[in-house]
Amino acid sequence: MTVAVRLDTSHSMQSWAGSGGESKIATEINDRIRKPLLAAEYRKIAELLIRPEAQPSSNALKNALLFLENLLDRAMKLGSWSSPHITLSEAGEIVFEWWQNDKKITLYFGNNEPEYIKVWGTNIHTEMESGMLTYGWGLTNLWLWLHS
Amino acid sequence: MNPLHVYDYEDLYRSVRPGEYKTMDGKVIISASAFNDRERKPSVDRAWLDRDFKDIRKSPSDGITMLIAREVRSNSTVETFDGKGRKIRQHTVDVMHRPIINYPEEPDNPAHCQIECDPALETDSTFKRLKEALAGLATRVGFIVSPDSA
Repeated sequence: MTVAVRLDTSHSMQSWAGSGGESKIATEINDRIRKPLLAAEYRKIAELLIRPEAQPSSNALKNALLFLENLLDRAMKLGSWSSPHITLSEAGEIVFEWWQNDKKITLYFGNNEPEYIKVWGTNIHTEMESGMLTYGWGLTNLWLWLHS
Repeated sequence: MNPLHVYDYEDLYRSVRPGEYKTMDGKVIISASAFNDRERKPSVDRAWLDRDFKDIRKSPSDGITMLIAREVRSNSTVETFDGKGRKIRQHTVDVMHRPIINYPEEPDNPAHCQIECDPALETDSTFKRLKEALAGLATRVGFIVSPDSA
């Protein structure tokens, strides 16, 4: 199937980079290095936008794109980037999933604050942890946990 | 034997669409989104009723995975917590036989079951964990019918 949807990814970088000269440099880095690396992810998210069963909100889309670029930046510094499996939840949330051996991370981007679930088994009480996703150290720690 | 009761030893089938799984190192991994359900009651089919695989799948590009009722029920108490981490409710996970017969917009399916919580889940975060558990159990089995092979 050919998807004729083009995703505008410019807004996510602007909100992440700040303003002024710093913003210009960050945008340049984003355009030349990060965006090509995320081309498959942008394409997949664009495909989700035309699915009939559930539509992600603009807030979900903005948060997911912002997160993706932020995580790529951190993961590249840690030397361990891998593409997420991207789907939609029944509520139209954009869902990112990564598996690494017996560990898994799932992230949800909807109208509210992004959520994470760490999974290392099938027991809901003793082998999972969930909460609100925070940027910065929270994000780095999640990524380090997955690859530890 | 009560034919309406889903016994612990029973196998349960679930159709998985393209995009709801991935293959890593030759192993099929089922996404939590394979158990999406607006009513938080994912559907499965009782295996012993021998429903045709072609009917279980909505499309030949779907795969079919399998769960065991005992394993689904092993998360028999799902707890819900408030924002301060206090337990506010306890739910029992069960597999209920809900045959679809003479519904106006759905084909008959006497094997139809639902994975339900009692009382019903009110928070989305708890259902997300349940979906993770179901996806993990399904991943242990992988596909019993691969896409395009039935």
